[in-house]
Amino acid sequence: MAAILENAKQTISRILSDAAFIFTDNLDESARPTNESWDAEGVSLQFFGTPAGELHMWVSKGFACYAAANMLGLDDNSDEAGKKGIDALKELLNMIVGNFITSVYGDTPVFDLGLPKDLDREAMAADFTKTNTIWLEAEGNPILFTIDIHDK
Amino acid sequence: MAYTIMIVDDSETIRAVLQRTLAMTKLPIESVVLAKNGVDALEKLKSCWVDIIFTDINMPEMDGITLFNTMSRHPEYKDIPVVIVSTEGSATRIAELRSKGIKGYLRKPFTPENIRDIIIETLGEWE
Repeated sequence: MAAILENAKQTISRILSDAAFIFTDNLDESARPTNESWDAEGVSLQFFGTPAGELHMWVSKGFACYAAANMLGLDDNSDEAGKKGIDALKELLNMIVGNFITSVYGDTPVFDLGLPKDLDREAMAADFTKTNTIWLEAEGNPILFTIDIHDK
Repeated sequence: MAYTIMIVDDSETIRAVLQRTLAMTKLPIESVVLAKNGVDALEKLKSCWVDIIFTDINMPEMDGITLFNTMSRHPEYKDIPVVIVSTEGSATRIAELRSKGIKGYLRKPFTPENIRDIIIETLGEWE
């Protein structure tokens, strides 16, 4: 799993920089927010094939607008960036998952992707108990990814 | 005369990003028609002609493959080139799509050069 997490981290960093001009770094363990203190919003995306799995992405509120603004060439304080924040987050996760599965499993197997979904606080609490996590930071904001992979 | 291009994607963000990236290709583009899924695309095709369609695969109501299959059976739409825009990079999937008649495959994230190359490859160099 360590190799998969490292591969995912590289894919995440590449997609965020290529698609949204967001440059990431590792987040120190001491700088990680707690489940109770973090005002975050999250999205999920499942993939189906052999194996199947699911990735979750959590960012601080407001950071999604920053991503949308970068992707669309807007002012990050604009209403339009505000409206498109979560949609931008879902698209970034879509790109991350599509590129991640090819990067890990090669380009022969065929995977189907689900539709990205919003996550709630309950899901965040569950994600804070997981071990397959990647913590990054960008522009001083924490970003959390969780990866679940199963046989079917 | 210039290209009229249709973008089909359920994500408003990707529709806007694709539209913005198309503008950066420096190709002569007359207009861009936006549709949020296959059903919306077929409805819009009733009232406008497009030279090429860029469509996502996974969309609610009607996905990109069903849109392509529906167009393939329609006498007026069957010759409109369809390019799939997706994050997936499976060579098996791409070969399968091409064997069914899909003209191109644009992988996200994309650059203006990627789009320009696909349009020129599909429609020919503009003179």
